[in-house]
Amino acid sequence: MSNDKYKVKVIRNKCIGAASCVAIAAKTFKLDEEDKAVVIAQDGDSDDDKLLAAQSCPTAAIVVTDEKGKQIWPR
Amino acid sequence: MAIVTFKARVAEHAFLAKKFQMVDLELVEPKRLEFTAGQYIMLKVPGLDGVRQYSITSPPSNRHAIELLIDVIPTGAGSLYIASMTPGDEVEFMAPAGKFVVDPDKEREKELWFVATGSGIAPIKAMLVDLLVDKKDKRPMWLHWGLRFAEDVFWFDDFARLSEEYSNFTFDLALSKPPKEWKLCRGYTTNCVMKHHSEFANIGAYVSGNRRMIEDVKARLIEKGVAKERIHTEQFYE
Repeated sequence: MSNDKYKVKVIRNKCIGAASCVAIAAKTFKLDEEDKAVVIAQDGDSDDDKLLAAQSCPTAAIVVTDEKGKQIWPR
Repeated sequence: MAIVTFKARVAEHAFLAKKFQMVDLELVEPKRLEFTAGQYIMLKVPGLDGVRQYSITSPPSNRHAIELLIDVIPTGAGSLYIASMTPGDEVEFMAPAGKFVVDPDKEREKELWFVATGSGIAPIKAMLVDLLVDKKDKRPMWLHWGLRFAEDVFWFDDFARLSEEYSNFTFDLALSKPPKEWKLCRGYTTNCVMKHHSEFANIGAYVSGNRRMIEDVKARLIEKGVAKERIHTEQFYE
């Protein structure tokens, strides 16, 4: 599976800084100085890890889209 | 610490109070978990996409098993799953995760305040046992824990015992809907915190629980001059 089929986006006002996305996909997400998740790269982690990182977010603050722009998560 | 997938077995499932339950998971593979007090696991819930987060309530000195605390109301899929667990059940989770941990530099925070509502006590219990019992940390520490009703209370004896054994630890349990005879703090946790303290220099605050309480405590502490970096938070529920 290609690493950059899925694109991720953080909805900043929904992020509570739980950092589960960082734990699962550390090459894609980091916490900024306000403890909010930000995307640092789209091709650092596998698509599976990016999707799991989004699914692990307790507030569903991460949106995942496929190469056609179709939203994969949240469903 | 890199995140690892663990298989574990339910060793115990205990009912603590009206809506609070505890499960003890014995690690099967790998058999050892290294984590920092305050961190959480990400539990795989059968039939659900993704994972659910649960703070580890046991201290890091216990490396072969972990305890989780759950509030079964509201009845989310993860809570229902844990509530249905019986000894012997096998579970899978990823760990460790989370940045809600005590600042390792003791000079930056000379007094520690722990503030929790409801099941937000889970990571804080791990922190307190780690600091007081395992690390013999002598800094003054306060626990302000808010619950709603007297029938919600659990672990009272555990914290009371800690406060008897460690003179640097003070335990304050607040009930927002107390019975007439309640002798400890009454009302919102934030007010109980502010009522007890007048010195705000060099403190580190660890605040965990519902969003409104966290925002409230944070705002009140900032107003008193506490730096944002010294207020550590973990939101459990709305």
